[in-house]
Amino acid sequence: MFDPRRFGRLAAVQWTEHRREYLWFFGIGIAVHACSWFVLTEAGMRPELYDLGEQFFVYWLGYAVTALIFAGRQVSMLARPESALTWLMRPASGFEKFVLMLLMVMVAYPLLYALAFQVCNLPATALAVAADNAREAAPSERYMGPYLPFATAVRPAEEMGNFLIVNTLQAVVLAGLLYFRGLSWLKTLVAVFVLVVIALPLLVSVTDANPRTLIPGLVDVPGGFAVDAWRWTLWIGVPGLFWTSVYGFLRDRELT
Amino acid sequence: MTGQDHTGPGSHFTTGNAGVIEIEGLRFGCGRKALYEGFDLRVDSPGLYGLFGRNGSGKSTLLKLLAGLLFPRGGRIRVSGHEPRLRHPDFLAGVTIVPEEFHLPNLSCERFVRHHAGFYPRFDRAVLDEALATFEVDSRAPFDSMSLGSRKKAVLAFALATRTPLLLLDEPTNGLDIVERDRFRDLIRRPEQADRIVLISTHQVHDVDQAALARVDGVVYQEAIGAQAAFIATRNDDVIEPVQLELLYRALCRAPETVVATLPAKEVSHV
Amino acid sequence: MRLGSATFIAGLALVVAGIVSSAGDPWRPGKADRRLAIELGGAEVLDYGASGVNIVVIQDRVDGELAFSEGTVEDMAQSTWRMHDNALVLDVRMRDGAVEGPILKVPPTLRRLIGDKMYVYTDVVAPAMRIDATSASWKGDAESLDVHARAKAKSLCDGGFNLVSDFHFGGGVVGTLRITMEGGSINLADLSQVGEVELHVGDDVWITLGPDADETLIRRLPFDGEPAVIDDDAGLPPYDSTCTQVP
Repeated sequence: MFDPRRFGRLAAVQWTEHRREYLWFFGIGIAVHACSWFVLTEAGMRPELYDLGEQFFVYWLGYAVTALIFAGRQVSMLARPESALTWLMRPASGFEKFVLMLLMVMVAYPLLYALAFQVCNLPATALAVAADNAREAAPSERYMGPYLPFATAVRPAEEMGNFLIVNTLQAVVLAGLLYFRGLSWLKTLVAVFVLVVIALPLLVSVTDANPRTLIPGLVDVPGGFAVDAWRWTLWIGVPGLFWTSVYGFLRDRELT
Repeated sequence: MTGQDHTGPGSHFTTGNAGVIEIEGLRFGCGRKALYEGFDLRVDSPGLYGLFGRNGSGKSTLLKLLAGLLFPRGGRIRVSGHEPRLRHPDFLAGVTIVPEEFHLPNLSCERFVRHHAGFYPRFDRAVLDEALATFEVDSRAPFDSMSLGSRKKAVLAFALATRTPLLLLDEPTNGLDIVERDRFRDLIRRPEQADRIVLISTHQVHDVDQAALARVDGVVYQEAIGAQAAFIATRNDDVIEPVQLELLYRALCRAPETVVATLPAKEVSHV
Repeated sequence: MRLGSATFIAGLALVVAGIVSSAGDPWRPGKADRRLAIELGGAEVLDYGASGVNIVVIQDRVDGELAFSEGTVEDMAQSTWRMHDNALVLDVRMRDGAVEGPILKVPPTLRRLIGDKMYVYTDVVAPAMRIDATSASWKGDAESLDVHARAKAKSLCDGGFNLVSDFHFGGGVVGTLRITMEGGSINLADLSQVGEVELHVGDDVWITLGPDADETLIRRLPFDGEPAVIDDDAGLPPYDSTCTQVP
């Protein structure tokens, strides 16, 4: 089911065929980040506004948006019959193709995004610090250094929560794109909108729920082992099930 | 509608490295349109097989079913012992399909081959080089800079070089000029292709006519709702004239009931 | 049903189960009993922040349960509450170190009703802040002590966020607060000057955060029934204006 040598060959083909696409993707992402910085700092006039809080915001908002698009593009070849045929007939198991997709989405992309983010972020923070120091008034007390995810001691639990939520949504998007045939992006967006934007908040409201308590470490909730076990079950189980469904849809994908 | 089982002499041939196609009671349809209802077929000898039928009769669909790209709604398909719908890596490494319309990444043929040849254990570089030379395809040029015909020739060259036990070709000569068609027919009949089952879906009877052919072992005729498809099995030790195949084809399309019962090879010329 | 559909539906079901399980206060068995034990005579406004950020109102019982109506100036939706060990726990969300957040000042009557435990948990979004108190004062006497500490928020320090996050006045965390004298204010860290000071249940600590005086946040000392003791011999590191790591 899983042959490392064949998997390596599969990964090499993936990289060879899509590297230009990846470079374009990150290039556009960096450009958008630069524009965001320009807007956030009031059209570039006050770079000192770009403190750690803004970086945190930009980082995770950018990650949420681009990670979903990137994940969706992993199955873009299935949107057209010609490329779908090539991909499905490539001699590797469905599980190997799934693992490659999973690694791309869950490991490679977060790492590359973190690096690409700094391409724009480091100059921006340098400008921010310089602008902050150049002010006539006393320098602000805000933290102007660069934001490094999971390293700047912002809020590891919240960062992990963000990561897991985005990861879960990635699986949902992939499952939708694999399930729907024709206009799959549109149908997936509608489904995600209905689920995430309407149904779940409605459920939260009706049940007077506080889902933040479900994120381990984010909110201090007493309860001992049982509560922790339940929270970890959720945070491993939900993405796990959605990713398993991605594998299932991928394995059963037909050429239509 | 029930299909008819065809088990001609070909079913007893020694298969060598070739795959075996076994279809039993196949049911498949597109939406409400049924294409196959109880279709049976068995091919277990190497050779060049033509798949004829009118537009919409399900020829390409049958190729996709054999490749595991579509799943049967009923019945059973096995290719070389594998169930195609599972798309087991060993199965995929033993099947090459060239669709009528295909996708190629923006790579040079050389680079494409370097990365993909390893998937096919019997890949033959010499066959590839010969085919590319015959087709006059520049292997260093990126696919995007090639004409449609050149890209098709590159794909066909690669498909021939994989030497997989089963080669499925869907309208392989579409987009090729007359000279290239002849070259393709020449290449497909080379000895190194002789141990494969090559199944060609085509309207060009000449694509299969000159194979060191073949008497017609028989005809599997499938009539579904509003569509007809014919499967003509050939064997490598007899000859069938193009005109005979064409006549047969026309007869199938026009009045299938006239040939549906049996089609002994000797009677082909009378069709 | 195929694997993809089955697991997708199972994933959705697990999401729903998770949300439902987080309804109200599911983590404490018998919570309803505790709620019911809290009887309020009428609607009471707890307090307002000096910055007017949030208003927390305790209303009367509604349908047998204590209901909170959280009127908001901004960011109020971030505040949640729950019962914990027979105490009212209010989650406070702060932004940029500590500027935002509900100001909690519980009137004595309500305090008696709720019990003797109250915590304010902070949930800070931005890491940019570290708090070093630079001055402090208190008023009142030993029976009713109000401590007013002026703190300066500092950034540029790894772990500053954690400091703020831990900067609730529960479990003796207050002992990590380092307060030095500045501008003639009374120095909490130098409390040994006046001997041991006991902070009693209900005592308030006022801390001004940030360079501007209007960025005020009030923190409540732990209502754990035990007086918190602050003295100069707490083994705390000396104050370092260059922003040392906070323990």
